[in-house]
Amino acid sequence: MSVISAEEHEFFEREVSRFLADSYDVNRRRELIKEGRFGNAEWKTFADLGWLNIGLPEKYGGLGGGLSDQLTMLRAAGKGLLLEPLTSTLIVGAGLISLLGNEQQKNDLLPQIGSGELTIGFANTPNGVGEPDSGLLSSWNADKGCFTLSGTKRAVLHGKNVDQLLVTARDELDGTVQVFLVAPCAKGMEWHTYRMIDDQVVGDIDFHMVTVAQEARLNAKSFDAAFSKVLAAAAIAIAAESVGAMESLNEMTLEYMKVRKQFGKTLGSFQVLQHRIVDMMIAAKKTHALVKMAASTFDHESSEIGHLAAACKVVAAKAGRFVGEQSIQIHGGIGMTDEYMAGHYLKRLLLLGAHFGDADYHLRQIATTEHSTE
Amino acid sequence: MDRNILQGFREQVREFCAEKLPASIKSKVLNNQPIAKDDYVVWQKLLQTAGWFGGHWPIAHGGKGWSRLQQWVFEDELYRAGTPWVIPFGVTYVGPVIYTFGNDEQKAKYLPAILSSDVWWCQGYSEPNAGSDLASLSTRAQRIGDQYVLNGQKTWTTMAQWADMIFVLARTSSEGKPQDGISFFLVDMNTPGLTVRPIESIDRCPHLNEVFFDDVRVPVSQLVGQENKGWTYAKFLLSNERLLAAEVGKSQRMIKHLYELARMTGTNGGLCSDPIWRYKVAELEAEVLALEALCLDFLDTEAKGQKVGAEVSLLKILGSELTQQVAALALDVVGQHGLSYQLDALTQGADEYGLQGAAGAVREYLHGRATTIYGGSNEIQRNIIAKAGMGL
Repeated sequence: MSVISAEEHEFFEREVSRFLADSYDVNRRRELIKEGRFGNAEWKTFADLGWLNIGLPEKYGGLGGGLSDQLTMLRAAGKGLLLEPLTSTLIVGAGLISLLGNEQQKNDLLPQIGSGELTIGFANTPNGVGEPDSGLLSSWNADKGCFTLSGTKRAVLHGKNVDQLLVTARDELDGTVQVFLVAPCAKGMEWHTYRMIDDQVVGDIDFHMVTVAQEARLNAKSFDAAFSKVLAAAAIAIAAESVGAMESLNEMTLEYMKVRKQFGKTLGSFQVLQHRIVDMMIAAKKTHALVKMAASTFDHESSEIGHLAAACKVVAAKAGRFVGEQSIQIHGGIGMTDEYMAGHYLKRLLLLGAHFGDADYHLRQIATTEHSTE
Repeated sequence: MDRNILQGFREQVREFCAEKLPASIKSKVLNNQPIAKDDYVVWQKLLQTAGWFGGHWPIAHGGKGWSRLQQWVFEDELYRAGTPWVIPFGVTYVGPVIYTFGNDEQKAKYLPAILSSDVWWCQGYSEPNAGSDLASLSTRAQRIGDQYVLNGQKTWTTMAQWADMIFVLARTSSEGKPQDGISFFLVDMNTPGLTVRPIESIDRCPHLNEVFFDDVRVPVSQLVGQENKGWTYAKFLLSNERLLAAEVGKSQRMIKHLYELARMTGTNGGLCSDPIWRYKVAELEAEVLALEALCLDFLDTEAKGQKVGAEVSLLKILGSELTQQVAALALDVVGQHGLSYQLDALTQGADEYGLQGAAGAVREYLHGRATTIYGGSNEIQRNIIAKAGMGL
């Protein structure tokens, strides 16, 4: 399924690392956070480098390939604490459009994603998963030949910074779930924006009779299967991002342990701390291995994907919290400062642990769904 | 020792808090919102109207001569009632050092203002290169005539931005062991050459600072006790603290608040109706009871005049880790609603989107990561037990 060879993967990995080191520095990031946005210039760079085309079908201008091929970029999002909407655009956005959209919508939207012209946010539920409640209702206006959305959506990651939102709503009459493409600044959209724990922008939206053209509704056929599939991919993507964040934290912490001295010795001389950092490395590595296995299973369209995706989230959430918390602990006082990066990684890992379902949610999925290991 | 020991006194404290604790302050505490300096001072002065703020001080110095047990019970009840943290730097740390090792002039000058909360103290101990290894501190105090001249830097100084005075451990000798060259000074925060710089913490609320000493001239009269004996006084201060370190009442208050947060999470009592979630909380509730029992055990030993061993460090280990675990459960509740951190919502009466009280829960979690680091990290505490307690 992978269209990218092993050598190309290695090259890509190096290219991504170089990008993070050269272009996405701490100061630029702080600036973007202060301004409450992500980097449009950075998004353009991702497009120019071809990264946004990986995983998009060739038929729609992409490079082809699957989730396995997108892992490097998703890990980079964690490694560099990127602010850009990679998962919501490439995994959820492209995923829902590919599975639910009609031919015209796919021809129109997917190439735009690949070329960097279209970023997408996902307005579903506050923690991303599950079917939406009746908080947002859609009604069909036969006279005007369009839909109207009324109600609220909460905790929409990236707020209004994206070009389009994919919004789930329930049909006012029959309660079925529909998916609409809506511009963040469409008439009648009232936003309250604030920040996630890791400073990313998030918003609540009040929809006051927002008009949506018929063509902007993704074909709602076979919604359930498509939805589960996309949420599984999102779970794996989030876990991949956690891996990157954990890897960066472990590197930072290990470096600190080799340099920081107390009692005339480096922190790394103390066996308790040696064992701790080893456990942190193990946590990152096992998550990474599981993510790779899950992505491969996803690309082969196995029936076990729900199970594996849930396991990814469970393992990643626990590992991420452990690595984040212990990194602060090992750094001591300096880990508690906003200036040092460890705290920022902890916060991102906490968010990733909760977004698209926390460990408890996914444990419940594993526990309540019949699976082959029972 | 019975759980209900000093029950009469407990009820007095509860009644006092119910009657006297201003509702606005209580609300801030329960919601983990930042407390203003005025709030702390108002409350401390109210406690002192009953003579309780300095209750554990000897009668000779204006206190009520309480036993350790009574002080523990008092603080336990205060935590449960949702009162602000009793700021320890003056009344629990430097005050006892002054009345135990200071001279009459220092006692007369400093003790009354500590009891009345008219003077705010902060603690100048840690340095950038002296964290766990505090004895290696290098802020220098050079004796010149009838002054000491201080040069160096202190860090992680809690609430220095509000302080009138700072007690400082500084090096007066580089001969022999590092511990034998440290002296204990009382320094006015307004002394020329002393600068305070705030440190932004991961919880984004102001409390940590750096304090710089640039030729700060301190009269000899501000040295406590003898030169080069400062480490002894610091150890004395720490030993007082250990028995009170568990903060059992705080864990109990946090668990109560956790249930309230969970009740708001959906229909039919939300998470509170979820047995799996309740199991997780039940586990912590059992541990809190064990911690309470441990405290009473150690207090019993102390009350009988027996030596409290080095294992008492376990109170700090367990107490800090427990409060972190409760805070993590609260964070999980918030996480199910979108893990936001709305700093504005930490101000009373301000808008909060989504789950009410979420911002406070996030703040408590982030702030709480320090509890296993400060006051002697939990790694150091375990070392102490292993070496001094178990002979390893």
